Amino acid sequence: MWWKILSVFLIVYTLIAGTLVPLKPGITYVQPASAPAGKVLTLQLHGYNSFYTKSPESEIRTWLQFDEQHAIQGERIRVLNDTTLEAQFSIPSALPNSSSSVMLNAIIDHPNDGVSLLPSAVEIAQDTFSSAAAWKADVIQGLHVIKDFSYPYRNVIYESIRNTYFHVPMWFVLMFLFIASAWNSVQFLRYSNPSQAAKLDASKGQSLIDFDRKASAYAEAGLLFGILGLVTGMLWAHYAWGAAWSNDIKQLMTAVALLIYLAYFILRRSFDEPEKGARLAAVYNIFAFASLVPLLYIVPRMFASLHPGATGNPAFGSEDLDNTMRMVFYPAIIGWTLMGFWLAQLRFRYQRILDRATGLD
Amino acid sequence: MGKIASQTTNSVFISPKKAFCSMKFFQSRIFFTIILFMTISLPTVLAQGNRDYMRETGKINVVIGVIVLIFLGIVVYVLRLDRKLTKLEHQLKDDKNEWTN
Repeated sequence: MWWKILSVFLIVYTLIAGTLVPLKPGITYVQPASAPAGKVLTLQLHGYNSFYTKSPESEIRTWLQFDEQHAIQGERIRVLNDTTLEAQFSIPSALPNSSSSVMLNAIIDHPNDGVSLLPSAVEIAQDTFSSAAAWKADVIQGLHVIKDFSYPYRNVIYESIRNTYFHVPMWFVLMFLFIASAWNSVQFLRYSNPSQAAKLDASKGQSLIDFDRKASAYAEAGLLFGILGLVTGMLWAHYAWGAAWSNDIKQLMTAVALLIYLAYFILRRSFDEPEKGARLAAVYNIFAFASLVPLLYIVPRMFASLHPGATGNPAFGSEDLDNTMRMVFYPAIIGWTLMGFWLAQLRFRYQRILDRATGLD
Repeated sequence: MGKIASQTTNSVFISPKKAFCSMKFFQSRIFFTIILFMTISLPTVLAQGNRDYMRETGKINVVIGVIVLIFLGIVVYVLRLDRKLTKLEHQLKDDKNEWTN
């Protein structure tokens, strides 16, 4: 019982911390978004969750950065309001490389808000290529790194980074439930052997058919969380990637995996003899689990994906999840997992009562 | 013609008085149709007047949408289990072993 209360407690914590903790300040966009080389550019930087007025203008610094060697520091910084900053950049007439245009990152260092960065903020175009020697190299150093309880700011997804606590745990729950399901199928087949069946302790409530019921209940709950993960992912994708279904490798493989598990339930119900159906379903379940691991964890890493962290490293590296997010993300996984096992347990208990009432047990 | 029509009256039609307090309502196709309709029409209703509720204020409403979807998914699962339990209760109640709904 205690773990059910823990589940509710952790999910409530996830809902409160996941929705109320603010994002770190960031830069949404700059105006103008493109400028010619060799002129003084007056740039307006628009912040998100920022409080530019909280520090004196002389202490705020800003840069336009090309790479580690090439950056221009902004001059005559004016704070228009909490979310708007104006600065002048004298763009050299020659670009750092021979292309016709380069994209520069905008960086703001604010004593109160900390550092914020917008990648590829401004496009600088040149008509004719001249020597690159004149490009400025202002040093970026002494940045203010603010450590507080807030989530990182990411472009395009903004506040929807909070979905990490709701969409992502669905897949963890699915994995744990399918592991439990496969484990019970293995146990079912193991104790089906007459020599092993004697080892089952009936006084502790162990029975062969319970393994089959548990395997089925865990798989059903896992399927529910898989569908939830897929549907919530589609909603998020519609607003982050521009389309609900973009044939991303993870989307496709997940859909295949869920269809394999759907077939498990069809297989279970297509036998007149429950004993035979249970045994075949257990065998199928083990094969379904064996195909789940490559479908969800191996194949997606071999192709380009829109999902973060899909190449090489584990799905949640240090770049995708900072320490503040970990403090909510791990409790969220535990909370949702316990909720999944709770639902599966209810389903299992119902099935046991039903079987006893209809004389199948 | 009239006879056929009266025979095929769908069981989902419930008296309006009972409609919102009976469990049957939540199990009916009408309920799911309403939910489906609401889900589809909500973005359209909210997007009126050149306002994009899902994209403004840092896409926070996407998070709300995700939470609502998870909640509804779990509720639908529990309601299905509830319906199965009701059937089982009816079955255990009368010895005739009739599967009344």
